[in-house]
Amino acid sequence: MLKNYLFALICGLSLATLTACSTDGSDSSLVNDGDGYQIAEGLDSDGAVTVGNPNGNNNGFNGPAELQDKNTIYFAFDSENIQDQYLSVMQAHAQYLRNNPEARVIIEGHTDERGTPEYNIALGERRARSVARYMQNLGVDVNQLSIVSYGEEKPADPGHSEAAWSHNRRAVLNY
Amino acid sequence: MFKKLLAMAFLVLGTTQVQAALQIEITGGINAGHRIAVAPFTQPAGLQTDVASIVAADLMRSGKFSPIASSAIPQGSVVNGQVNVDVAAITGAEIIIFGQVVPKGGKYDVEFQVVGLQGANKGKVLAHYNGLAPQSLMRQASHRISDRVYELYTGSKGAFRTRIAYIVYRHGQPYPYQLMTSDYDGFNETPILKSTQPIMTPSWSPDGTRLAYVSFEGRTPAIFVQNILSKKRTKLASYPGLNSSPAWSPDGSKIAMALSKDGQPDIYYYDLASAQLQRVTANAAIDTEPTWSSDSKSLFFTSERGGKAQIYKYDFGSHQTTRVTYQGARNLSARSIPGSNSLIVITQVNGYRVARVDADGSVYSLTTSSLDESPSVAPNGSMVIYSTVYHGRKGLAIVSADGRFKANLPSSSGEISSPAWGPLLEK
Repeated sequence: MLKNYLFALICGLSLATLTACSTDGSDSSLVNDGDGYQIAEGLDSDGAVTVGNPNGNNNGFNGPAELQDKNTIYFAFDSENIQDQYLSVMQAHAQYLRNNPEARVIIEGHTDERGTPEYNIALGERRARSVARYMQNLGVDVNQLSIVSYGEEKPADPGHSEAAWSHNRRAVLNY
Repeated sequence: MFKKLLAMAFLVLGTTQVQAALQIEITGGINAGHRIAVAPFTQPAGLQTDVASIVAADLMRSGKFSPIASSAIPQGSVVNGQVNVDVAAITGAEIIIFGQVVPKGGKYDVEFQVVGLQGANKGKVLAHYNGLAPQSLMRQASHRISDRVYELYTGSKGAFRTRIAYIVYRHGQPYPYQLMTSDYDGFNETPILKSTQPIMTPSWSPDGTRLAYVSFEGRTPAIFVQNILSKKRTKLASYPGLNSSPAWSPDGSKIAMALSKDGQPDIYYYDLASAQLQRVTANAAIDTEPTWSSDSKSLFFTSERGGKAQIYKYDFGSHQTTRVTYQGARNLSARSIPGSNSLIVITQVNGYRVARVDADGSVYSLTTSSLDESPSVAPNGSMVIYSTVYHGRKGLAIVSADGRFKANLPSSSGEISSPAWGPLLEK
């Protein structure tokens, strides 16, 4: 946190002068995001900076196999209320997390595409928080929980119909 | 690219003749633009760029002109570089634009004239320019003609030589999320950043050299600033929670953003000179989507503090926050229109549509689509680019700020979103 803030401070100064504090765009460089998470950064043949590992598991489930098919909570339109039918999903993950204190869950909040992307990021965060609160109530240590909102940026169904939207208004428990 | 554009801005086109005050004769009624004729340019067969069609398309997109079809321009209107006013006037056009492109020392000399066809302007040369451009910049040279004509009529700068930034999503590619820049009409696309994870909300620095944006490359959102020429980038914000919606102030001194590090999303700005993060709002409801007034003295933002999302305005002088929109179930994504007191928003009425909010608070839908988002206004206030869904895909579209003209900008592949109109890069 403090580290991030200092980084922003220092980079702000360099922004004003347009010089230092940029990451190196060469093929082998790495960007440190400040939290110890290393992101591969390279330069494509067309001059674009590339980030991430295309061969990595970028969208899949990283948690225990037995929870793979039980990791999504769907929401009604414009709502962050958790419907009763999904309580068992959270209970299964809560039990796993209580039994595995080293495990860390990331709750991803998603929305459908209606509204604007920036507003939907805020709504997705509200959904993720709603799930996180419930997991805490189920006895999960707060240090095992983190949230991230993708808003409408990662639809599960790329369609533009109500059927697609109902699959996209969701929170995903990932690890 | 921008270096080249800047260089060209200085080398091109000496004035020979301009009428100071053009008398506008409206021939198309209040619901149509000025009727004009753009005659095909005399140009070498090998030159791929059709100058006249670019000029006609530019002027039509502004909503202020209705170019007549080139097939409707009578033969003999322009002969050997001379306009036959009586023949051309039959079209009913107020003016005719014609010219030629001639090879000269490895480049091309682009010459054009604007001649009045009706009333007091009949036969008058209203503008006559020429200048050199290399083949690689022939589209820019064509857009420059459009800029000249636009300014002749409206008195304000044309925005046809501006760049836009946007996000492309190409499913199945190694880096499916791509931040691109291009000319405003989609030509000359340049990739800036490609990622395995989503990229959002590009925002231009007012000098056109840098883009601020949100990247999820670290599995959490962070705000970066990237130089589009050197491609070098800097992380500006990666606080716990949301790091969202960066917006560069028009005076270049600040970047506004929405952060949720202190609880619910609130508005902050980063002051580049002092390197300080300042909090603007502290509210239990969602505050997000900060954007700047044209004078950089106030921020518009979207807030749920009154129930459903509406537009509010924070004034840095008085420190007062006032609600701006009341009409419509929700209003989102406010953008000031340079040179006017109106705003562009996304309004919720039969879906989500691009709309204009006038100073009295009245809201006018400019589109009839239902999934519009991310409006961005041209720096001269004439056009709005936004993303919407058509042909089953997300793509960009343009509507003139008066709603007269609309066009889709279909792409050959991928879904396109988050357009951001870049600045005018010359005086």
